[in-house]
Amino acid sequence: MKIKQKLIGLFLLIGLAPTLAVSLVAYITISRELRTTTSNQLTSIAIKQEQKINSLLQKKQEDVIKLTNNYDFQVALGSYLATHNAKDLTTINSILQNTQTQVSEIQAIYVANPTGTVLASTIDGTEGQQMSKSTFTIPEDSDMNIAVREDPRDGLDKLYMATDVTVNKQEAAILNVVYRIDDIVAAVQDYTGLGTTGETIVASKDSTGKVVSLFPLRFNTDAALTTQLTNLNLFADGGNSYHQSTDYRGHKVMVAARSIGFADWVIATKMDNQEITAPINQLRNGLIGIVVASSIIIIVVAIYFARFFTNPILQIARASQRIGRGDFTERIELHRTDEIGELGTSINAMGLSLKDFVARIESQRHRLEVILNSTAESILAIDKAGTILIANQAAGELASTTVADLTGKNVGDIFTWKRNNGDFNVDYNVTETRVFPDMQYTDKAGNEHFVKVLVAPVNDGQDQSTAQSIVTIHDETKSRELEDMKIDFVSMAAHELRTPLAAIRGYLELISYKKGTSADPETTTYIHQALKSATELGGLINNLLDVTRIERGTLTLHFEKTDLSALIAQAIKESQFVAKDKNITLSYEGPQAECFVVGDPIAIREVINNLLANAVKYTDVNGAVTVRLAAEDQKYTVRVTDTGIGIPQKAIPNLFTKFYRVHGGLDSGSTGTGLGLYISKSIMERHHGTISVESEVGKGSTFSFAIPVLDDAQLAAAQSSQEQNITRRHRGWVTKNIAR
Amino acid sequence: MAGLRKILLVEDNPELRNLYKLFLHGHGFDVDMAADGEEGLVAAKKFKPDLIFLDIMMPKMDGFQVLKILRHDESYGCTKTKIVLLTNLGDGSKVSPSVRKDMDGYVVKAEINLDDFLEIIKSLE
Repeated sequence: MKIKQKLIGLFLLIGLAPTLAVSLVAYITISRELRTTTSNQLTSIAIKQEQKINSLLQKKQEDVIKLTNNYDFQVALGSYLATHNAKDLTTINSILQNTQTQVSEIQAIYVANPTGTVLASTIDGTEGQQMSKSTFTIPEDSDMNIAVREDPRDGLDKLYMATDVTVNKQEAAILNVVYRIDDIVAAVQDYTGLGTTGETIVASKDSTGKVVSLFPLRFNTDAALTTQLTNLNLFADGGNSYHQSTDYRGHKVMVAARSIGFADWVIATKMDNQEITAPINQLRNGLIGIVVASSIIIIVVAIYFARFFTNPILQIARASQRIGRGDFTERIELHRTDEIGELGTSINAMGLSLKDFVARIESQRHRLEVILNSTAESILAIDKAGTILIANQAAGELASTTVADLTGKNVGDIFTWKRNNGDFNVDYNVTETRVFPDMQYTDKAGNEHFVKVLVAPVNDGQDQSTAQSIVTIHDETKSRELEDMKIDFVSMAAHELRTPLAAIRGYLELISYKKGTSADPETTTYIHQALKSATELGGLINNLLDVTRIERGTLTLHFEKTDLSALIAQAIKESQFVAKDKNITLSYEGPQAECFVVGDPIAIREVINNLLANAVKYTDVNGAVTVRLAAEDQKYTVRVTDTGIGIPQKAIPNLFTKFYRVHGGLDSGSTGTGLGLYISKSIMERHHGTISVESEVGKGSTFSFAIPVLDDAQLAAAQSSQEQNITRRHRGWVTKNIAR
Repeated sequence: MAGLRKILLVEDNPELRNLYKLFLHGHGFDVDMAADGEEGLVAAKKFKPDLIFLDIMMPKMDGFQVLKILRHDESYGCTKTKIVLLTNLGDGSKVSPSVRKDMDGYVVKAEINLDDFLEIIKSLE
């Protein structure tokens, strides 16, 4: 929804900001202009009213002055004041009466002496006879006192105009003329140009200095002479002012005031601010209306545009979500040709590509599954906690269950391992591939399997929590059985061969003993050849049997204190016969004294014999074979050096493996099973010794083996552990002497 | 013991049996033969040998059984007769301790020369 809000904001900003600025400027300008105009208008009305009232007052003043200057009046007043003759009073009264008759606005005329006692009046009765002199105080600098007062006789406000009457240059009396004020009130109440709230106020200060309205106000007709107008501040600036103020009703008003020359009055026109600003307010309201209306339009348009953008986006988002969940058939139908339409089309295309992609992955996965299930090896993928994630069929079969059943189980609960019949825990949390050989697993049917367990880590990134291991279980039971069968077969065949061979050899020996002296040399040679071949064959069979024993781990050696030099001497002696045939010099270099090691003398003899036989076999006629014995680094080292054909460098690493022959094949001309060196190496390993070879093709080879030298303590231990009841031991037979 | 002159050969293979007899006879020993375990027992009782070469693998009754009977049944009179087992199996490591106690030695037939018999006999005297 954010896009919608932002679009609305943007539209409002672009659409409203200029309108607002223009409106504001217009409003300020217009309102200022309006105020100026209004104030000018008020002032001009005030001036007009002032003139009107002035002229009204002037006319009345002229009437009064005309009366005071009346000759008959002056004479009668002067005479009366001098003689107090009643006839003069009558004259005065008559003049006053005439004047009142002539000027209709005059309500009454009094003449009083300077102390205020009424001398003559147009009104009968006592009221008005006495006039307080203070009421008529005529200012020093003026000829006349003009005031608005309430007429005690009828309670109406009247205009009192008082002036001194001078007779013979003496202030003889006071003339007071009372006017009706209807004409002035009418002038004041002329509101032309003042709207509905404007009015003209005529005010003066009363005796206590308070400012009061002299005439009824527009909105308070009883206010004459009673309502204080101090707030209006009419007398500021000598009465000629224009200002803002608050009127008697508490309304904010604009005031234009002017002083009236004939009286100590101020005339002011005022108008309510509210009325003055009414047009401005209208303008303002109009502007607000425009702004509100345009805002609504803008918002509506913005919402439309926002929908124009957000609806397809939301549609695309929902479609993408569905595609993400795997619903690749989802299509976005926008029917638009703009960028958003293009986006929708692209996502549709992406959905199709994803569908293809996922299909490819799925088919690959299927292929992998087929591969996994077609292998005989049990394969498991487990997570860090050991939970099985993936298992193949072979694993299911090994665990006597289904693949589905394996998934989710803990590998430790399914497969319990043993090694050498003892419980063994396989560590599945490996950092590099580890192999656990010779493991045993018993399946549900009770069959024991010999397996090799291989645990390989799967590192997909740094995250340890997703680390997995691949466990491969290689069932070696069958190959072991086959190997065992092979060994059994070889062993059995060798044994079966031995009995007839023993017979053949025995008879040959028997013949050679019997014919030893009498037979012709040719027969003797043949018999010897046959005997030699039979012996060789026996050796080969023995080798085979040794190998089967090594393979089965049943080759038993009898360790005892053994003299190496004696063994070598004996071996050389036995080989001399063969060496002499090829005219090979067979010699010994080393100590004649006893060199003791702990070992099986028969086995060590076999090693020496093997090395000697090889040396003689691969050395050409007239060559030399030397056996050397030396004590080095706490070891006795025996070296058999020949001047033979040598061994290629690349063959050396394989020399000591089973059935390996350097010159390979049956057509090489040399004989042998390729077992001698393998057996020799096994025997040396059992003696904690080493066996090695150095060779150069064409020059010869040196085979050497080394057995640790015995110190005195080891010798003593070896001697004490020696089987006491075996007194004589040879290759092939053992007897014991037991006293019975 | 002064001289082991009377020797009984219990061996099922006729060639070997004859060979050993010819050799030992040639060296002046008094030799009797048996072709299997049962015959061996009969011969031992009748012949009263000083030394018996007893094959292990034989039909009807194997050498171990014969050895056990001869050592424990005094009616054969062979409880103290020297008895050497003949075998083709190997170095005698498979010989159990009880058999080891009853025998006086063993011979791997394929690994000896005829001359060795003389040495074996000599070592037992």
